[in-house]
Amino acid sequence: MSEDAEESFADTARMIALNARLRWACHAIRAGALAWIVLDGGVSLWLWTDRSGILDRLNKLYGIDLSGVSTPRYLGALFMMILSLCAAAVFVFYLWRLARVYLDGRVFTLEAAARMREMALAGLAAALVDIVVRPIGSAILSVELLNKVPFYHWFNPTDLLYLLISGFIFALGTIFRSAAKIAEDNARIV
Amino acid sequence: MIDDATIETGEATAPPLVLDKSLRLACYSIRAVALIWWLWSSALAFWIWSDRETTVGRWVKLYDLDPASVSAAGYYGSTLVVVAIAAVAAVMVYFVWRLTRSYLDGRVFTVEAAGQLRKVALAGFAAVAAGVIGRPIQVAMISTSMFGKLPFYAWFGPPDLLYLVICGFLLALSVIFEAAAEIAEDNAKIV
Repeated sequence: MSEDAEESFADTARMIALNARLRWACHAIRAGALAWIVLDGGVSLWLWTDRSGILDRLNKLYGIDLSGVSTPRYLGALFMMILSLCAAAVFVFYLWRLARVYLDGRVFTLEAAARMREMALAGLAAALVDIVVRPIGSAILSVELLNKVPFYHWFNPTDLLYLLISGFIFALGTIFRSAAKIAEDNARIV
Repeated sequence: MIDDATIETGEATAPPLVLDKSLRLACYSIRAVALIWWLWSSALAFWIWSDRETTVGRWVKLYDLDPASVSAAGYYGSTLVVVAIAAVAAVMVYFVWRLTRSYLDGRVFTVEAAGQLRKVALAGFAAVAAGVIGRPIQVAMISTSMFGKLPFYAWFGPPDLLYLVICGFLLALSVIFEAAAEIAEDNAKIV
């Protein structure tokens, strides 16, 4: 890249890195993601601590008396829910890492593109874990639940939306990687 | 991932980018899945709401709702809110289609594509807002007695917050992509 072009790229990259709105957005995204995992985990754990409440709710909805469920079975189902939360927390971790890369000004870099793809894969993994553990957790509580719960509880439009968003972000990450490569190629060629 | 390392510069004469096969396939998949998602979520919602007895029965079981208090006008008015929410979601799918069309046509690092990504994010925000605003309206139409009985996360739950975070992320990406397009234009002028 010529000196002028290199300076132009660096100036623009610096401008983006220091762009107050973008910095504010990165901080907001990080705070929002953290708030989401805390809210999601808090609500789930709060519901699961009320054992009789949750079993009574299932009884009302599906007509299955679960009052006799043993403690190990209940804890097993709770563990499945926590597993799903952990996968979601990994996604938040990767989102934080990506936002950190942006905040440090490494916007048009292969590293940033790789972080975005990793975040998308973490999102995909979190969605898949949630889809897999849902029936397992229910089966641990009672196999009868598998027959009584409506089909859309096991795989619903929300799951598909999460998979779509993950795929979309992965594609954007791939395009971003091309942008970073083009910037590098230009630097070599010009 | 992009075969032709040239960049469309808007005013400039450089040929558009040509996405490689895997990215083209990804764009087509995103379009198909977005459409399937909207059709499925709308169909599921309409299917659930079309079975009035079962739907009201669920609220009776969970929130001790008096079924006699649910008027036909209230129920169908509430169903109309479901239609309105689905319509807003359709706008988001439309913008996803427009964006992927731009990518498929090779308009990747352009201000236009960045603007379309921003529209996807804004349509997403609108869809979340429609859901959050629509929910209490639905409950008010069905029976105000449910207001005190529904848990707090029924009004604004973790998924709503996650959608807002993702839309915010896409909005930030659109700003970055816009800057990338400007860099491409600057480089094309300088080189």
